Amino acid sequence: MVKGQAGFELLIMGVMVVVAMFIAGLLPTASVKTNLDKEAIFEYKYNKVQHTLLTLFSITHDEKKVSELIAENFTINKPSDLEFLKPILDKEIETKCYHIVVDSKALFFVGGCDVKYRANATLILPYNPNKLVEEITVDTGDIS
Amino acid sequence: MKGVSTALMVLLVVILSVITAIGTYFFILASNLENVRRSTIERGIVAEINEVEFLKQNLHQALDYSFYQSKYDVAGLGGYNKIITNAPKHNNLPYWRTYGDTFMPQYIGNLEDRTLEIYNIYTNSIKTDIIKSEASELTVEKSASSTYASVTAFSDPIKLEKPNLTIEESGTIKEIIQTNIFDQFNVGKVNFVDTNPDPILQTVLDTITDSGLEGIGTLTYHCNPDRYPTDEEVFEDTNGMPIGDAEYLIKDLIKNNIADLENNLKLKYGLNFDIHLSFIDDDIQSEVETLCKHSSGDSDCCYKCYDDAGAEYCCGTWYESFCKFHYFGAARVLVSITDKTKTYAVYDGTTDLRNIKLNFYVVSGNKELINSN
Repeated sequence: MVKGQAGFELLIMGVMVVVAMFIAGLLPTASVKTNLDKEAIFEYKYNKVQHTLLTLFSITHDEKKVSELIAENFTINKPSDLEFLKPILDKEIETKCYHIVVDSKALFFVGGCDVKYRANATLILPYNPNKLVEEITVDTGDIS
Repeated sequence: MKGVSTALMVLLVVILSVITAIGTYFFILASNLENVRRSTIERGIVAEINEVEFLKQNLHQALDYSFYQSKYDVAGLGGYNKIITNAPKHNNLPYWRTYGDTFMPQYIGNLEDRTLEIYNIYTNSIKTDIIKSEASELTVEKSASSTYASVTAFSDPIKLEKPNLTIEESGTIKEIIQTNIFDQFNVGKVNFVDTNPDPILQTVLDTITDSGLEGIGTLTYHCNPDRYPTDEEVFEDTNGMPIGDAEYLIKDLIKNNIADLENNLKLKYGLNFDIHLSFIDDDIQSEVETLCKHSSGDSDCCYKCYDDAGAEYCCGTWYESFCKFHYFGAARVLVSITDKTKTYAVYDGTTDLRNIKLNFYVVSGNKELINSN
């Protein structure tokens, strides 16, 4: 009985050691993976918002650069002219929450959420000796 | 003995577990920190690459806007950049023609100068860590079809130097821009500089021909030594109106014919350009010149005849006045050629969408009746 009990204890300890070793192996892997996933998602969404802003600077509409249309819209104040951008932005940003802001003036405000990812750049405005550049910001967040 | 052995084993397991836990914790921490560090560096690199890309895009955009503004400014000043040189001017606009003399501006060079000025104002206003320089030279080249301008700004390379990254790109920025500016200047040049006789002179000549006024007039009259009929009387007898009325008639006809000329130009170029020829009343002048010969007759005889009753038959002597009439006209016209195909966001007190409008003066006619100033 005593001999059997000692053997049982040894078995339990052996199992505990194996479990401990297993956890020691699994936990870091799982944690690193989770962390990598989080980083990858953050990276992806961060790059996405950067890419969206770059896209706005690169594409054209009716033979005119979109950044030029945005700058004219901001300067001359014709909000309806940018409506064509909405389907492009919806597809590009992949979230239903984004804001495009030039000097605190929202050119696009889709959905309400906390800003998580932000990209900004200098926007060249049509010539005016008093104001030649402004900051353009694209904000996105995760909609709940 | 057995109890000690069990306790030692439990202790061993506990120690192993603690070591494992601590090891796991630090491994996770180290891995996560490394991941965060790598991600941060990666995001930084991406952001810096993007910053260079944004700067390049912005320089391209700045070049576009500089060219638009340059076109607006240079065309608005008749092809000159801020100062009209080597040409007479009126109301701060240049003449492209004063009668037989023409003054075609070097407008492409002036477009280059103005675009370079504005482009460098833009490059200085872009705040960035990236090393960039003002453009030292800028060229504007016309495409074979005249519908595109190749605008190139030459600058030192763009450089970004960071601990993890060095980027160097060419600082030369080139834009191919669709434009009607070359055709716009060409319409003005072909019609008002290269054409001889120019359309204003042709209008004046046609007006005189079509006015129906006679070029020659004669008036015979009885002997009267006290009074010769004046040139004006001969003119009135010939044309049925005083000289003043004839001058007014010519002036009025020139006005109408300039309106016709404007309509013809609109018909010819109306697809792309709106052409307007404008003037005020003092910009149209006309003149009638008389060159008369009065036959002297026999004045003694005529005097005697005059003293007698029934004078005209007494001596049988008549005087005759023979006149040649010359008609002159001149017009000063403000020519405006507006590109109606497109509007550009340009500054003129405020920034707004505006058409590019080329303005210049032309003064012409068959006599210099209007000063070219």
